[in-house]
Formats: sequence, structure tokens, C-alpha cells
Amino acid sequence: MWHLYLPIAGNSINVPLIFTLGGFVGLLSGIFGVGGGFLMTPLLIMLGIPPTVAAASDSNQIVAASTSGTLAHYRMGNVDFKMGILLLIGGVAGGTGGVWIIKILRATGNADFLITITYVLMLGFVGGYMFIESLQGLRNKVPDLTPVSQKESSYARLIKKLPCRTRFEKSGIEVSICLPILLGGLVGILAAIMGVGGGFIMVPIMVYLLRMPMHVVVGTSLFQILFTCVNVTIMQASTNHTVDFILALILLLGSTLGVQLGAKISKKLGGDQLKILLAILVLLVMVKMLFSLLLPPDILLAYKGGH
Amino acid sequence: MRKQLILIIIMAIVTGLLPLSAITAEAIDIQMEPNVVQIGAFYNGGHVSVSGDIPHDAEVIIQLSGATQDAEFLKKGRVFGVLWMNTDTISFHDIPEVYMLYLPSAISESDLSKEHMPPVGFNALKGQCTLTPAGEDKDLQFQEFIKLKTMEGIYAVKENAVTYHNNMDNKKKIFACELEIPSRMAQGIYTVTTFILKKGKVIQTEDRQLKIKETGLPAMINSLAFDHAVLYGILATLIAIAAGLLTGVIFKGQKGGH
Repeated sequence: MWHLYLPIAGNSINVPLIFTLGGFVGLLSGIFGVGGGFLMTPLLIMLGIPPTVAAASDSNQIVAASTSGTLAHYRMGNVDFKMGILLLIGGVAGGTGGVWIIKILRATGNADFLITITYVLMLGFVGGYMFIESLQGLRNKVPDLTPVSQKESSYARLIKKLPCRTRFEKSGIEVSICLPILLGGLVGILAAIMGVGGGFIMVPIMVYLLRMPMHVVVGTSLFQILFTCVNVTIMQASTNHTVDFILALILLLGSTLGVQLGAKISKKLGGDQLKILLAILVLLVMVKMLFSLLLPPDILLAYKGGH
Repeated sequence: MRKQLILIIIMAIVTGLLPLSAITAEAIDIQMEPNVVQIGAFYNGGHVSVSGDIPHDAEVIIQLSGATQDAEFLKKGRVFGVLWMNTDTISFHDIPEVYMLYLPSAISESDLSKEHMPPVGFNALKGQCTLTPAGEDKDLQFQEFIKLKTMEGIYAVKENAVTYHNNMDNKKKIFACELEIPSRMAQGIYTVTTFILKKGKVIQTEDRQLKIKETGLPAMINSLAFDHAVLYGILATLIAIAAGLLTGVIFKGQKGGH
């Protein structure tokens, strides 16, 4: 009675379970500005969805969640469209470059090892740095302010030398337009290599390297994720036929509601509280990956595809 | 002398055929219901019943199998002696996409290796399939393959799954078996093979085709996704954007325009 058949995944699923899953991941998207693919895809695979279908259908539902989330954050004045578009341009270019890099890596062998190690180190570095920095922020009770240190000043001096400086009103910063394009490109390369959307790398980059306020980061990140996932959904549907719309529909019904609620929670939390919670989430994913690397798997075979 | 020899040969042939004709004479009628399982929007797996009258001292084994295919997997192994990761790809050739075996209480899985038993069960499959790269440890990899497929519910050996009831006529009994069709079984043609055994030997084998077919909404979505892939992708994206905007508008409405 509570089951629906998924024609592309070739399996039936429990509707309330998938709806709840969508709602939970949507909630995290709304709070932190991440797509949530790094959580959703493994959970869908555990529920019997083929990896390639899980990843592609998740992209489809993120389109809805990020539309809903961008709208919610836009109303709160938290979306920097100018910054989002520049990061997106860099991201598309970087993503294309990343696909080439992954081809070269695969040709040399040991690609999976490099990808997994990059993933774990990236999660560990990003999560660890964000955790320590936001913990210091919370202790000093100076929320949403980046402590000015000698090291950061030299970085600030360096980015001041870049040409084509422009003012980003929503973010309240003035930087060169080259910087978001370069950083977007870097995230695009990493995301393509790791096979993920890259929200959890983009958010810390916007906070620490672009020095945007955390709340604007969440909204702008969702705006950018929307376009990335529109592209991925259409590409996956047309080339690999792996988008299961029924699955995406149930997920998005949950996630669009979750993301709205998440946006409200995000507004109530301070910048450092948001950062420390995201840091904990990122570190948990890293610990889970480390365990899966160190403990012998139950089954020594796996299907291809997925995140 | 030559006539005698011909006579002996003819007699030998006739004598040899006698048991076969006796078996053919008592050919067993097997019923399968339904022959077609339809996958609709609310499909969550199905059931197929196989039954028939058999001699009172006979046993029945039923095998449900899909088309043989090649399957490619990622193989997990240790890197630098510490980390478990995907190290290589491995292919299994001539392996059925679905395999389920239903046994009566008198026959256990270990009995299947006995002489005169039909070539069924996981060991028989292992014998039929080949692996690429050829140097792989077949026993280990096949065991992992069976674990994976069993976890998915599309490979199984079910003991005590064929039941018997006495017929009015004491010379015969009725066998019945309920085949579980998991929702993971894709649309296609499957073969249901019934083996009837007497004194440990197969006396009759019968194949029936089972069709699993998508209808209604699943069939429509599948056809759109494969025949008009770009349109399908664009529609999926537009509906997702519309749903996101709609939720946004509803939430704003709830807040009274705040």
C-alpha cells in the first residue's frame, strides 16, 4: 500500500521512508547550504537503488530543494547572485577540467586510491579547520567575525593585488572577479574528481577565502548548486538514462519542505554555530569513510557508479 | 545369424525404450499461475504458483532463472596492506541475472551435489560461469558474487519450499510451490523449470516461460526516459524547479507575507 515502483531504478520503495529521507537531507541543505549528495546517495544505495540511479536521481531532487532553499534565503537577503554566477562560471570550467584529469588518472591506474585519499584528506582538513576556527569564535563570543591574524593579512594583501576588483554588495566585500572564478574552478576540479557536488568544499571556501558572511554563503551556495544540478540531471537523463523521476519526486516532496524549515533554523543560528555544526557533519562523513577504508567489507564485490 | 543379430538389436532397442515410454505415459501436467506478472505503479513484487499431480513417491525441484548475461563488478582489495578499496574490475560470464531454487523437505541444498541430481544450485552455476581475468580465485569471487546477489534478493536456494498434499487417489500426490517475485526482478522473460525426480533420478523436466512486464505509469516513464531522453531530462528538471518554487510560495503564504 505504501510502496511505489521505480521504473528506472527497477525496484519498489517505501514512500514514507523515502519522503522522510528527502526531508532530513533537505533540512541539512537549508541549514548549511550543501546539496547533501554525500549523505543521500549512500543511503539510497543501502535501500536497494542502483548507485548510478541513486546519484542521478538525487541531482534531480536537489534541483527542487535548492530552488526552494534559494527562494527562502533570497527572501532573507542572503543570496549574492553576482558572486554565485562568477563561482558558477569557474565551477563549470573546473568541472570540465576535472573530468579530463580523472581520465588521465584512470589511465595511469590507482585512480580510485588517489580519489579516496583526496576525499578523506579534504574532508578532514576542511572539517578540522572549520571546527577549530568556529570553536575559537564561539569561545571568544565574537560570532561571524574572522579573526585577523598576520597570516590572513598576507593572504588579504595577495588578493588585493589581483586585477578587476569589484564590490559585492550582498556579501559586503570587495575582491577581484578573478578570485571567485579561480576558486569556483578549484572546487569544480575537486568535485569532478571526487564525483560529488562540492557544496561542502564550496561553503568553507566562501567563508575563509572569499570572507563572505556565513548566512550569505548558505544562500549563495544553494543558488550555485541549483544550476550545477540542473546540468547534471539533464546530462545524466540524456546520456545514461539514470534519472528516476518517481524517486526524485518523492525525495523532492520531502526535501523542499525540509529545506524551508532548514532556512528558518539557519537564520536563528549564529555564524559560528552554523560553521561548527557543518564541521561536525563533515568530520562524521570523514570518520565513516575512514572506517569503510580500514574495516574489511562484508562483500568484496561492488557495483560500478555512485558517489 | 545376421537375422538373429538384427532381431537382438531390435529387441534391445524396444526393451531400452520401454521404461521411457512408461514415463512418457505418465507425463505430468504442471500448472503455473499467472504466466504474466504485471508491474504497475504500486507494484511491490508478486507471487506465482506452480502445482501439479505427481506419483506418490516422486519429489519436485523448481528453478526460476533469468537470461544468462555477463556482469562486471568492482573488486575490493587491500592497498598497502591497510586500506580496503576498489582495486580492479572483475567480470562474470554466462551467469543468470536471477536465480532461485525451491526444494522440498526431502532434498536439502547439500543433496544437490549427489549423482543423478539435475544440474541446479549455486555449485552448478559456478561450474557454468567463467571469470575475467582468468587468474582470479573463482571459489572466493563466486562466493562473494552469491553473497551480493542473495542480499539483493534475486539469488536464493529455498529449502522446504515445495509442499505436498495427498490426492484422493493414493497413487498420486499434489505438489505446490509459491514462487516469490521480488520487485527487483526487471521486466523480461524468465524460465521456470520443474524437475520431477523418482528414486533420486530425474523422470521429467518441464520449462515454462514467465513474463514480467511493465504497464501503465512505469511503462510510460521508461519509454519517455529511453526514447525521448533529452525531453525527459528537461521535464524532470522543470517539474523539480516548479515544485521548489511552489513550496517557497506556500511557505511564504503561511508566514502571512512576512
